Amino acid sequence: MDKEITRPADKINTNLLTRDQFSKNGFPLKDFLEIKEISYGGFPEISGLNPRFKPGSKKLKVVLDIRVPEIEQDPTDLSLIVMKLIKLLPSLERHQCGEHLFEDLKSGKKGSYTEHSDKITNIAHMMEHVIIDLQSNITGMNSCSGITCGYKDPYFRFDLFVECKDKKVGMFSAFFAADVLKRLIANKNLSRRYYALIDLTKYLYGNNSLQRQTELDPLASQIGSEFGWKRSFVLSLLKKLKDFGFLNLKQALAT
Amino acid sequence: MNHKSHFKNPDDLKIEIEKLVSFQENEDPLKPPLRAKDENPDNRGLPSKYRKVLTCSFVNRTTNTTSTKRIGAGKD
Repeated sequence: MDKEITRPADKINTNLLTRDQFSKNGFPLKDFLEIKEISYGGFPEISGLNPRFKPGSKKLKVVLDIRVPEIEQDPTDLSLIVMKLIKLLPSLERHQCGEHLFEDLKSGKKGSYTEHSDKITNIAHMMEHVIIDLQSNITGMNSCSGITCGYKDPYFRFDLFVECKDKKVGMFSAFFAADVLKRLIANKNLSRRYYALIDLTKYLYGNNSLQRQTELDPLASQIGSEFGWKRSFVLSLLKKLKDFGFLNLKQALAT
Repeated sequence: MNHKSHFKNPDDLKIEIEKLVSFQENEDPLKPPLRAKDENPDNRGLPSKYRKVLTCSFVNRTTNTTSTKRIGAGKD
């Protein structure tokens, strides 16, 4: 079992990772960022925390743990992560952010996020932005607001609340965002599969009959012909969508 | 006893008021006190278990939900 280094109690109470744990080939991606729980509801107790929340709006709540390494040469370059996120989701640049997260990071400004504690908060906040953008992109929501709440204890835990029009799209967006951020934090690039997943989810959301389809073969055939994708590629995307809770396919998906 | 009137002559009062509100030449007008910072809405009603709350929102200018295919994706 990996050893955890802890700071004295009067300092930040978080789990830190050693350089060995962050070895390029050996570090388990799931330990960077882990969704602990997802729920859906009104959450009136937090509605006052963002004045832009629409009254009575349904929200997705994502409980998230983030443990990024604290080593001498910190490999998590937040500016680079932001650039890659904007390439995937260009409309992120138009988000209204109380922290000017994307403006500051994109312009390479240092300072407010150089501390370890702020880094994990910024990563959680990035995830919230990605969920908002994906939902808006897929469902065509006119507006979407959210909040990122950092726990006092444990320090690495966050509650994200995001207005959510469709629970399945919300769940997909949360899992997709976590998957993307884990890859980017590990300094990996995003393959074309990620771009295709967004396109496919958007396509399926706009086609209710396909979304309700529970048989694999006709669904894969139609998607393959619509997008000009190979069957193996379509099946790998459908498996992801099933894992992310967006599709409910009866037939086993093997890639 | 000769009590001094509590009420001043209106003309004198007017002069006093003018003195109070007029400014000497080259004297800067009184500046309003610094505005109090707006309350941070993020912290309004902050549940006690949270140390920090960040907000964001997005107004979608394009509400088109049709698919936008990316040419070449998945063809290799």
